Amino acid sequence: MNTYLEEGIKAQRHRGAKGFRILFLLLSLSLFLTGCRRTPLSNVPGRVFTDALERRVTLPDHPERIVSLAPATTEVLYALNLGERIVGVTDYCNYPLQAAGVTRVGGYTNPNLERLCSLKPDLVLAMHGISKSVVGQIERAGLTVVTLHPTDLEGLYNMIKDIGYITGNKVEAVTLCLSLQKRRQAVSDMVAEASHPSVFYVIWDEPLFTAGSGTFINDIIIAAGGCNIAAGMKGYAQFSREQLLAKDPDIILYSDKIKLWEKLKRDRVWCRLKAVRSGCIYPLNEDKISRPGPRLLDSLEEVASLIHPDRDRKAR
Amino acid sequence: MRFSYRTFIFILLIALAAAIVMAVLLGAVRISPSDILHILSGRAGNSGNAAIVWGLRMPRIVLALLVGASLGAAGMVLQAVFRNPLADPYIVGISSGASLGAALILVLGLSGPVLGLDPLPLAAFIGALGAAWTVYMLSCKDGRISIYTLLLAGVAVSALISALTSFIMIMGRRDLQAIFFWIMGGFYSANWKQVLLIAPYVVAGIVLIWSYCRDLNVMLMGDEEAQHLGLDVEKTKRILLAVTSLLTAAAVSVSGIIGFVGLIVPHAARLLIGPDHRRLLWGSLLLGALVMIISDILARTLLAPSEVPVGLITAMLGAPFFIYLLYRRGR
Repeated sequence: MNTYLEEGIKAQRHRGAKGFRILFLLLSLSLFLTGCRRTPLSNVPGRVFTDALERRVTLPDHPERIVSLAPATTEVLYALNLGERIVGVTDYCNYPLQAAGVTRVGGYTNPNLERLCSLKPDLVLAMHGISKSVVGQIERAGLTVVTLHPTDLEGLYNMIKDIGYITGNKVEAVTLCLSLQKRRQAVSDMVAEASHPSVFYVIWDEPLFTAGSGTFINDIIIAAGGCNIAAGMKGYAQFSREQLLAKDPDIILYSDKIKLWEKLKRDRVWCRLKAVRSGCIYPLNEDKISRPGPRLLDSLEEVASLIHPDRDRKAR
Repeated sequence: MRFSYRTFIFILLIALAAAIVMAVLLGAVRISPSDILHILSGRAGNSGNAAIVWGLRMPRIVLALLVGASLGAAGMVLQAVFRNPLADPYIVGISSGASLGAALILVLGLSGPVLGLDPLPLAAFIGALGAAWTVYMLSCKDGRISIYTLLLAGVAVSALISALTSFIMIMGRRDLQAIFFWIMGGFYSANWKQVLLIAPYVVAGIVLIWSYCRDLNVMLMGDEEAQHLGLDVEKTKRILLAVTSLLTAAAVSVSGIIGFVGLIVPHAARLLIGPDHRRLLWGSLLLGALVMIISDILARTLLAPSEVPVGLITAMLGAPFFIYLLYRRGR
């Protein structure tokens, strides 16, 4: 299951333990306040960036020690050839392979503040989903933290450009965006005026979870010339099996993190679905399709060729 | 508010029939009553709606009925054996044991069949019985079960196993959500296989409990009195604990942890038709099934096409109703 979803559920589950958590956070706060030296604010009038939480952040001139608090920002940093400058990543950062060698600082909604502080980063990149209080704590530790929040494919380009600006690598960022936009355009041309087969994406099968509007998965399906049957729902949502049978999608895509095929073979109800009978059911790398990183375009191309195999062949 | 036994059973049967009809009619997909009649009479062939009614709704209703009846009956027996109004089917650690089994399977990602069975219900069943057996062994001394020790051992073992489950959930963050939903209970993936899997346990369990209803009445007077009246109290206790453990484990293995039904249904039935177990059993069975089917209708339809975990509904329906009954009795 993807990280956004599971962090959300975890937050929900742990709401009961909030008191304990606050106590723990206070404790760790006091620990690192005493253990960490505050970096003095530079006198140089710095560049200012307004982030996703509407905070005006003064940026360091040339960030050299970057902590990435989201898998997506990690992927963007590496794509911009900034891997050398990354000193910390989250437990979820599994791409590219080099990220595995970087110090881990915990989950992205609950990074370990002591560990984060000990890395002495001059820039912390976080994504929407991290709470204001955690951002505040990182800030109070004297670190510069910026939050980003891409919501769709356009937002992805903007995020890449923002990261380019923040890290002082504008040119690389613009070049990367241009190549991504070009690939996006190629897909749009390929599926233009094609039919819109109905598509269903399975995140989890028991209970059945899918991606509705406002998710990158939904955007990809639409951009690839498909019609998401769960587009009427918001975000990651549970979907009833009745609805699935009634809507009977042409194509089923599922997360490679579940073994849907093994279950399908033994399930009489699933076997009735058009997509299952015709074999139009494909696994997708869920990290690729749910993270707002450059690999979204890989997913877009893959989904487009799955939805429109005939046009894909023509295009090649 | 005490009805005559016959009237009560009659009302329950009518209500149950009505609930089943509603459960067939209602769902995330709207199917007209005439279509449903068509499908149920087998004339609709292999249409998509037939798959929804026969493949999804019907097994779900039957499963809810079996699980509700099982929890109701098990709760009734345990409240009598423990002579404790707070006893419920999960008191001997069954819920925590089942959760541990389920969590392990979900984290390990096993999905292939084991001995021809789905590994998830199988592991939950084994976990439930393992926990119940541990609690039972801890409280068994010189061939006698101390009810007092059993209650405390149940709490202790449950706490220990729950901690293990939480640990597994933290380690297997990716599967957190699946475990979370399993623990909250529900009939999301009900199918006929599950029905066939638990039906033998439910039927055998209920028949056995029925044959012990007279003894349960005697046991209500206290162990010593029951012994004087010629009842082998220890043996009866052992058998009844084993039967209810099997019954509950079977129910939990296909539905997850659905709380409140096993606690409230026997009390409600007792308040409505009195404490004679020969009558109370049927009251608890029917009321349990009724509550479960109604809860599942709400679970399926309240947020359609999403679902609410049934455990939430049973608690939200059950608790206020229970308070109302207590209030009525108190006056």
